[in-house]
Amino acid sequence: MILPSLARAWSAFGKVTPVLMVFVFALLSVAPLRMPDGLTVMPFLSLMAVYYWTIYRPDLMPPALIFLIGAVQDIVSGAYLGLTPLLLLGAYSFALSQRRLFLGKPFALAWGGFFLVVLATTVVTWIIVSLIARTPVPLLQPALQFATTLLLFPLVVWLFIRTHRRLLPGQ
Amino acid sequence: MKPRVGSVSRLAAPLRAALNRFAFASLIGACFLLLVIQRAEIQVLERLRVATVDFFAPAVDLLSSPVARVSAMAEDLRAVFTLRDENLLLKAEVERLRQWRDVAQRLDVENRSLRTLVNYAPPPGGRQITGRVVADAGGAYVRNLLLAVGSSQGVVRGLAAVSGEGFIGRVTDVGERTTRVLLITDLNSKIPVAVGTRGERAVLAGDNSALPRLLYLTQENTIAPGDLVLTSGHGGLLPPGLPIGVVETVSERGVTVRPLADWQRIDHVRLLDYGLTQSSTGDLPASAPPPRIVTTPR
Repeated sequence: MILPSLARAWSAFGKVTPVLMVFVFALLSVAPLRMPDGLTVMPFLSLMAVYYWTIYRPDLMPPALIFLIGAVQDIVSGAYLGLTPLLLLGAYSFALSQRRLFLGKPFALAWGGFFLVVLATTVVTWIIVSLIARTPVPLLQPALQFATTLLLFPLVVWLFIRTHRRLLPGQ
Repeated sequence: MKPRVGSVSRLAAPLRAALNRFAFASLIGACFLLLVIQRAEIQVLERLRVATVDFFAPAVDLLSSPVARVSAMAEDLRAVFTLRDENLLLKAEVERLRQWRDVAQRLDVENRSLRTLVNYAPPPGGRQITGRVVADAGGAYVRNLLLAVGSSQGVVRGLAAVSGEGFIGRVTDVGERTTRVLLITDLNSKIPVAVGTRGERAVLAGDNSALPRLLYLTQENTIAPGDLVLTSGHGGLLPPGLPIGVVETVSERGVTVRPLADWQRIDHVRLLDYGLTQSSTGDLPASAPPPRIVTTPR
């Protein structure tokens, strides 16, 4: 009696895990991570989460929730509201349309796809922020974020794969 | 019955796909709409934004504390290796500051006697609110801090925020429990300042880099590297005379300023309330309010 309901709860937990991870990563993006010289660079963690889970479990990644999580990230970080949901939905759209290409192939291919996503994200952000600020903004920080996001991707994916196997076995 | 269900589902599949596509397009549209209207400062939207920050602040605090701890540990570890050098530096600094203390004491005495001569009325004493830093938005395009104090502790918009070293920014959003401080390095930060001993007027503008720039300097300015940059108090929003930074470089491309604040070590921020933010609506209080210090519990 108890075991089946426990199993059901576990499987339900597994189903909300992808969205939950995107959300936790979105909130982590404002963690005080300080580096010398006032440079506080945080990799775009929620982008990694959306990209991975859209490729492997698009059914558990509803766009409306991606939008909401992106909006919350913007509000909490005090950034330009609307930018992060736009970028996350862009990544979602790309991953959804190309996922057949990445499924069952070596990881390097998915990483290459992620390279394109991060590149597009960085360029689009720079253009939009420069338009809002009405002046070309410095490129150093976006470049640093681009590099850290791309390089940390394998590590974060390893974490995702472990979670994926534990919580959603055989799927 | 069966064939009808089949035909409905055959019809429904493309319909659902079209609906999904429409929903996705409207979400993208909503993103652009938000981007366009955020500058309009719509009252309802602003209140919703502040309430959202208030709501998520405890979660952010919880999530960020391990990150902050690891970050602090790495910093401590690095400090151990530079202990000897730092000690020598500090000894030299103490020696230098002793001399300055003597100068300050002499000037203080002189100042007091001169003040009695001219019947000078000192400015009203301020109120201080100390807030713990909960979040440090280090996106590539924003520079702000989220503090664990809010309107319930008496924070209002526009207060000056200082770290141990100097002025770091201005309060832009106030929730019930949270306060956002826009740092001087942010793209949207513009602070009226006075530079050097001559107190030349300028505006300190952030550009997301570590070194904000001075704008609107006069042609015949005499600014040189090493000049101190202070708030000027122009515009009446900020108290004058708070130290901000030191002029770093002077070139044709502009004047950059190195902030005094040590961004790596900002854990607590003091907000200074001199009653300046309300002065536009009413007269200044006749007598100075007694200094009061409010500290938030951890």
